[in-house]
Amino acid sequence: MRRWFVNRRLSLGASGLAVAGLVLAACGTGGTSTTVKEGGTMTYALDADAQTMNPFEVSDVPSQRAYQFIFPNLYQFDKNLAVTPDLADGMPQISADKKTWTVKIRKGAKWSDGTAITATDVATTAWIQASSSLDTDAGFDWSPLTDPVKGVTVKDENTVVYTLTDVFAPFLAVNLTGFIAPAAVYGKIDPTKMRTDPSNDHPTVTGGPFNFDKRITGQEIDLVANPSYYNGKPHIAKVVLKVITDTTAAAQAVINGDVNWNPEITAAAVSKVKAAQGVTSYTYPDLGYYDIRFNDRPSHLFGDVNVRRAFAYALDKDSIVKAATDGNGTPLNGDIVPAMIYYDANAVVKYKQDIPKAKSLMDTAGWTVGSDGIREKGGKKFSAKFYVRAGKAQREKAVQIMSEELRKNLGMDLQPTPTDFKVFYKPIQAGDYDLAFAGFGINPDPDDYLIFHSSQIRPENNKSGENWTGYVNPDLDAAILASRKETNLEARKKLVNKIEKILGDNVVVYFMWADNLSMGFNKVQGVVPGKGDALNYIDKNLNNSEFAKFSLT
Amino acid sequence: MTSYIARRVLIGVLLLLFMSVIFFALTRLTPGPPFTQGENPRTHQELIDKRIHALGLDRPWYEQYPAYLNALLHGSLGDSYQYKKPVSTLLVERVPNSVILLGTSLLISLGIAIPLGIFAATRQYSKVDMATSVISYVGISVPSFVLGIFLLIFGAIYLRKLTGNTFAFPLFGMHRGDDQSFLDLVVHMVLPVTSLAILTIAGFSRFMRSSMLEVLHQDYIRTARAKGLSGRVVNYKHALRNAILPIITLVALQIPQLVSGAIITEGIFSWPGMGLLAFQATVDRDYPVILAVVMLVAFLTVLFNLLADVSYAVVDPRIRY
Amino acid sequence: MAEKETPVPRSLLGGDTYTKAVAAEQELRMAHADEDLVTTEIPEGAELGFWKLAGLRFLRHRVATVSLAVLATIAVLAIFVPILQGNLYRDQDYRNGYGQPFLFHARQLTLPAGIAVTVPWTDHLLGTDDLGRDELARLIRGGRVSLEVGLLAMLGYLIIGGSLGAIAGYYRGFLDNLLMRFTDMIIAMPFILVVVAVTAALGGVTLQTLILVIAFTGWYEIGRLMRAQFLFLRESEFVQAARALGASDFRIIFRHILPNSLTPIIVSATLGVSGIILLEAALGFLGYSIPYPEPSWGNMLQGFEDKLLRDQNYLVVFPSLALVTTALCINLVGDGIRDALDPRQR
Repeated sequence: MRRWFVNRRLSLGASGLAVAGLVLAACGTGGTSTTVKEGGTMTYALDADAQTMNPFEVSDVPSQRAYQFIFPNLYQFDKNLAVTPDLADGMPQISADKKTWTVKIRKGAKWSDGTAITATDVATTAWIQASSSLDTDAGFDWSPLTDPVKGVTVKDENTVVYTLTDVFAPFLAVNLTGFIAPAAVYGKIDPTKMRTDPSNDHPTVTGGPFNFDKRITGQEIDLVANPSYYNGKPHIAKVVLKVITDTTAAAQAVINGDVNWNPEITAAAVSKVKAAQGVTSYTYPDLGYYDIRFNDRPSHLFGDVNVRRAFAYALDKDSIVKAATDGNGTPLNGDIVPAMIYYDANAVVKYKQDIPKAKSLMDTAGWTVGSDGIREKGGKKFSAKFYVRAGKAQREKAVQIMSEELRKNLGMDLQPTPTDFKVFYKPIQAGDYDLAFAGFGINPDPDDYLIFHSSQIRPENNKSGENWTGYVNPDLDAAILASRKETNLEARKKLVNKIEKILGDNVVVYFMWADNLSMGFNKVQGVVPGKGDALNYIDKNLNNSEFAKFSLT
Repeated sequence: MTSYIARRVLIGVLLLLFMSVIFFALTRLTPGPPFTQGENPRTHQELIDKRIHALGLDRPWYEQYPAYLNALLHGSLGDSYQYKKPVSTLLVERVPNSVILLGTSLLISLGIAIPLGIFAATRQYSKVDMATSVISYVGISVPSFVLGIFLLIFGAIYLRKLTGNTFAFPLFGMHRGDDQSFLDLVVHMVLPVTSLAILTIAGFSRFMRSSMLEVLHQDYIRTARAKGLSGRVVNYKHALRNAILPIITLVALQIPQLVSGAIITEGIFSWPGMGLLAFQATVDRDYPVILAVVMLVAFLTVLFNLLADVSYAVVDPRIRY
Repeated sequence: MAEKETPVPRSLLGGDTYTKAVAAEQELRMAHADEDLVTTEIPEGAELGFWKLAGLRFLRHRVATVSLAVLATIAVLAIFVPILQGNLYRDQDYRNGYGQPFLFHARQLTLPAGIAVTVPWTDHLLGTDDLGRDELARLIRGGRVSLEVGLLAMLGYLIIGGSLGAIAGYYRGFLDNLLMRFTDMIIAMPFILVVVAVTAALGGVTLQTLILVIAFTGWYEIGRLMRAQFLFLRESEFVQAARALGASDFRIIFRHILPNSLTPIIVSATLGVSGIILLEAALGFLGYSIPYPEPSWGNMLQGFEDKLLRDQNYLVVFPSLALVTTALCINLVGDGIRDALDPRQR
């Protein structure tokens, strides 16, 4: 395990906005009203210092965890991963051609400086995010709009209208669930200088349940309750985000009550925290997944579908995932994780371990076992570097197991190559690799366009594309485009499942697992889980209106 | 003497200049740019290219160097790529934390090591001498991260159970909540300082022991003994004074390292010092931060080497230059 | 505190302060040389007697002798056992990880005479790790890697530091100044930056690169020590006598100065090996150790906090014990050698 690296990769929505969601139900289950205590300080654990408090610039997890407390969201996800309004007043009105979306803003909502939160703030936030000159790593994608400026208009003080070039079904979940920032502050900053603006360190005007108070670099960020919060003043008076770099200390801190909320307990400590007295812990499925990304280009080792199928048949995925994640991962056979409403266990293609079949598939592909046990074809050995990001213990473990199994069972010589993340993507983006262990974030409303559509193949078709596999299949392209345009849930489900099937049949990638993460609360009440005691909870960019309902015991 | 000092200063400046070239090149030649799409594949490549171009990072390192040197000579360390604020601000925030932590542990380990070394030297080859050497060597032979985690587990977790939830050392940080008092700081320092001190006591005490032995075998000490001075007076009045000089020099040469922090101990005890900052900067290719830390240490190293050499020249007329 | 360079303070990563202390001490001693220091001079042809004497003195140092015996045992195990074990160190049983240590079961053995006996038996004496690999096999093979790193990197120190230090000390003047300033630069060299750079450039650390990186960034103690020895010895009476008799530089260096300068170098080198072994372990902790499937004590301790949290303490205890024992024994042997070789402290 490589230590103390800030994990910069956020869970991303399939098309860009750092996604949202929560899934904390309102407080007071079963009709019993708990006594709510007013005031007090809630301590929250960060595993590294936030690098910025400017939501337009956030690309690391600690920063996102910090800013989620202080900026309002337009829409957010509820416990069933369905979109619900927050700052918005009701669901958007969609025109008959499904290309014009009208959003009403709540009346009476105020920023911390007392000015009203208006349609201008909402529109300006979108303009800044959509601006091509915005210098950021946050990865906003407003490409469905007709125009980055004219595509968003302020109709009146409380109405914003979005105009789309084409029907884009996940628009609400992908583009309208993010934060809203005050136009009076951020609208004045030159987007090319946004990265270095002083507000990165000390946000001045905010509108979430808490306001920024002060910050001691490397140690803590202090927030105070926003008395004029539009969902009602929070019960908790103060939130202190403490930087705890060591995982043992962070897990123990929530057990002791030194921190009241640890949003991500290290997997090894989960059972200890769960067993601890006074700690309430929840496990939530991460909206992200891991897979083995093959280079599907015909000239490469895994360009032959038989080789990829052999790969799939040679492995016992469930056991590998169990060993690699110590039971904290859900094995996947597609990119829809079970927490999503689009998940259909029957739609995905499962490959049950069948070594003789795997071997015969390799023979069919023309790869025969050489004298050293490694397969070869035309004098060329089946030998490749198996890239994995260094310092990711679970992924490295999975890669170790798989390469050992494939060497033993199938005669593939795959050398695990743990790679520094600064150079990890270089060969992959250049299409100059054979296989790599990759991780992706997803939106509850799926959109496979950027990752699997052939127009996004990098470097051939798109310089910035994210489709590294090089896989071309007209059926897949058609299904992806159709799913983007289908707004009927049931019909869309069918299309999404069709995509899953194509991906699975052709083993375009080899899906691995989705993480199950755990968080722990100590002396905090008002946190109510959804079904099966699972917080269907994307910890980043929460449904922060719930925070106002938390109180200390 | 004046000309010697002038020459040494000149050499020192030239050396620093040369080091800045080498370290600058080292940062720039490390594969992996400071900004990549790896952090977020949705970021457009054009944007990253633009940012890299704006910072001049797309040019060869030797073309970037003059601008860096120029800024450095004008007192500017640049802005951190990751923290997006001036590196000087980061240093002002972090360096004192590391100096407090490492400085205290240095003083404490000296406070233990010097008497220990003297004690061992005056009883050379006694059982006590053997025991102190074995014990101090155990301290130096434990990997710092194992020691750190075990101190954390015993001092902050197990002690709590042992005292029935009444007392334990803090698990993390420099301060608890709003308590910014000195006492609170001391409580937070106990575990990390212990962890660091244990690692260094052995070195210093063995050094002190041999330095003391060295002096005790000198003629003038033998003469003093022969004149009938008591062992105690000889040991502590005459010998100690001479034996302690070398260790002062050794300590002086260690001072530059105080600002660079200790990544493992800082990481385990969540201490917001320079070690973690510099390590993260290295991983992130945050060039301005890396260079600032490296050059600060280089400057102090050159300075203290110079001071040591000059003071030798002043003290010992036999050294000619 | 106390260490060398940024941003990773090396002595915090290992036990390097002591090496530094020894080096500084030697330097100071040389700088303030007293006449009686010349007693260290060993007349030509008397070396055997000196080494023999030193050997005897060492053997009287009981702690050091025991340490040496322990070290020798570890070394023999690390060299020969992996040959017998083949691939045992990498054979996985990933479905059944964390096999506990010291679990014995009864096993029937048939002796040659046809007598069946039941003996306590274990497949994995020290248990298995998270992927079900035999911990004992990995520990022994890891020891080989760790010792290899320690010894080879030290050899690098001796080659680089020894030759540069000797040149600087012997020729003095401009060359000395140049080399010493170069040494200052190496001291200020940010070790972890070099490690990261090399890792990124070569796509991962290998045993060879790790050794090279450590050697190229850590030789300066030996270098300074060697220089101090040469500075002092080149002025000694026996060297001046040899020079007066017309001996060449080569002869003076290799025949007269070098053999007499070895004492502190041997001590410093011995102690340095333990520092390097601990440094490799610390790099493992930070995630820059030798990659799978080759074990080292460093990468066996990678992620050891997770193992403690899972209460699989044995996976931390065994490699830690191996590391501490080895480092401690090396340090004590170094201390013993030092007392044995340095008659002034008698």
